[in-house]
Amino acid sequence: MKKLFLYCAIAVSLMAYFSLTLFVMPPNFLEKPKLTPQPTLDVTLDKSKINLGQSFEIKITSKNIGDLADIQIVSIQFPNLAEIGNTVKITEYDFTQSPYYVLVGDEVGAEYTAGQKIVTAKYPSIEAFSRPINTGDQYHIGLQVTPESVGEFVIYVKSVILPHYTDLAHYPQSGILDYQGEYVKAYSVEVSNP
Amino acid sequence: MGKTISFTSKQHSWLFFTSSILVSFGVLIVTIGGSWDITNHLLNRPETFFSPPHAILYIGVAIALASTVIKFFSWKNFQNDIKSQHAKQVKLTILGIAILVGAGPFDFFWHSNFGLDGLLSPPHLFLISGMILCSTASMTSIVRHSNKKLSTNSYTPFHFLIIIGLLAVLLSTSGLFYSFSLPFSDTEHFNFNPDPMFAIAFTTIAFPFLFASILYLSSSFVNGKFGIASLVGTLFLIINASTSIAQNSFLIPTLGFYFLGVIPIIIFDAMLSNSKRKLQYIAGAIPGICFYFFYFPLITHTYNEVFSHQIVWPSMTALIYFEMLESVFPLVVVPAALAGILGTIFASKISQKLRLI
Repeated sequence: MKKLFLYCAIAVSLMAYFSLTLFVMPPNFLEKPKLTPQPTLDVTLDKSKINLGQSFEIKITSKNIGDLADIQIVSIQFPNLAEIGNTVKITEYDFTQSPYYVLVGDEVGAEYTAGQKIVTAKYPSIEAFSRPINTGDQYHIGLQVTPESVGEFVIYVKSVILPHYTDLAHYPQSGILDYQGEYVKAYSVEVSNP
Repeated sequence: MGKTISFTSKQHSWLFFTSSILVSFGVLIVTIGGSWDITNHLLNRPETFFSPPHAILYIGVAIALASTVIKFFSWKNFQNDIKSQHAKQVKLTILGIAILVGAGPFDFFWHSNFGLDGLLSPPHLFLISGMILCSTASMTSIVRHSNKKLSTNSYTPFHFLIIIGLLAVLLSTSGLFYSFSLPFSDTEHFNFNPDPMFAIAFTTIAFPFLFASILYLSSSFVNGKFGIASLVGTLFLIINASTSIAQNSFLIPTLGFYFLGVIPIIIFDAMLSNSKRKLQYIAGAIPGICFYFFYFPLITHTYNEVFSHQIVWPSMTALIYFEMLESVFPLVVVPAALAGILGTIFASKISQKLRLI
């Protein structure tokens, strides 16, 4: 009698366990996380005009003003350059991960797909990133740029938060599209002969 | 004089037992550090060898090393008949700790020359092999040393201390199985990732076999006394939840789901305590089938390689796991149940061998 009761209890418990784990609880987790992370960027250039041989500085502060997310990338692109070389130096950096240098010809992700669509880099860039990224987290990168030719020195800046659920997860949300099919904000400095 | 010798012998015996427990405890700390390290890599991508999980891991190695030294010297002072009874375990522990300690500088050398390594790499394989050798040898020492005390009808401290030995074996062997199944070993210089089909076949067989074996041993070592297998299984869930789930804030809502796993563990323990041997073997199917729940969240990455092909972001892990549940579970339920049954039969043979000697 005692054993019969035990086996009945075992059968009921197992049925309850498998019902809960296979049918009752999973639907609660089968929705994409309703998270809306939102990056913002504050970009300042210390000069708008320089003479050839002089340097200027860019300071970028990134912030997540939305929900927490897995990763925030700040990409600083140099469409005038074929290689970064000694033209750009990092002077300040507090992102959680080391900066990554994208070279011309490297394979990079496109259209906010985190690598599921791939394109080839057409110009060099520096990617700064932190992971995970909580609400209100702020990170900084400072660059010293010494252009090697006269003319307009252009810099594209953007930030993307991954995974990319909504249009709010990238900054800027409109404007120029780069070769990755992602929006960038353009900044420039006029370089003249001394 | 005679009294002094008797006292010293007891002291050595106590030291031998305590040091065996501490070797297992050290390995257990290593496995906790290792599991935390995997999660840390998934969440933060640490870029330096000097990380908190590595510190925990090497504290565990230090505990295991110091305990092995004590174990060796206490064993040396045993009388010859007892000495020969424990000789194999002591030698295996020394071999295991040598490999474990050697893995540290090897790992540092690997990091220095090839950057961050993946889960499966030569130094990590060394580390895990050393852990398995140490934990298995120590568990054997513990069981043989306290065989009579474990057979008593009432609970003694030995019943609870043996849990440390069993957990160390369970977690270190799980670590080895993860190495051969998780796709975390593709690095800049080497790609040691397992073939995805091999990985899911291996996971489906190896983890149920292991979990059922250890739970069966937990019960068998204490003469089928209810409670110890439940404690071993529950502590495994607590350790996995602490190192793999709670560290990832996106997975915290799944903790309730995860801890439901205590139910089949207790049921299996109750069946081992109240059934005849053949039914005990069949009951091995229960922990076998439940491996998909016990090894959440890491096995998501293994099955994703074949069933989902998504990027398993920390924030997406639960979604991908539950999306795959309805396609994976029906496929793995039969082989996992069979592996669980085989695990209990295997453990029964091991237990008989260990307790008879």
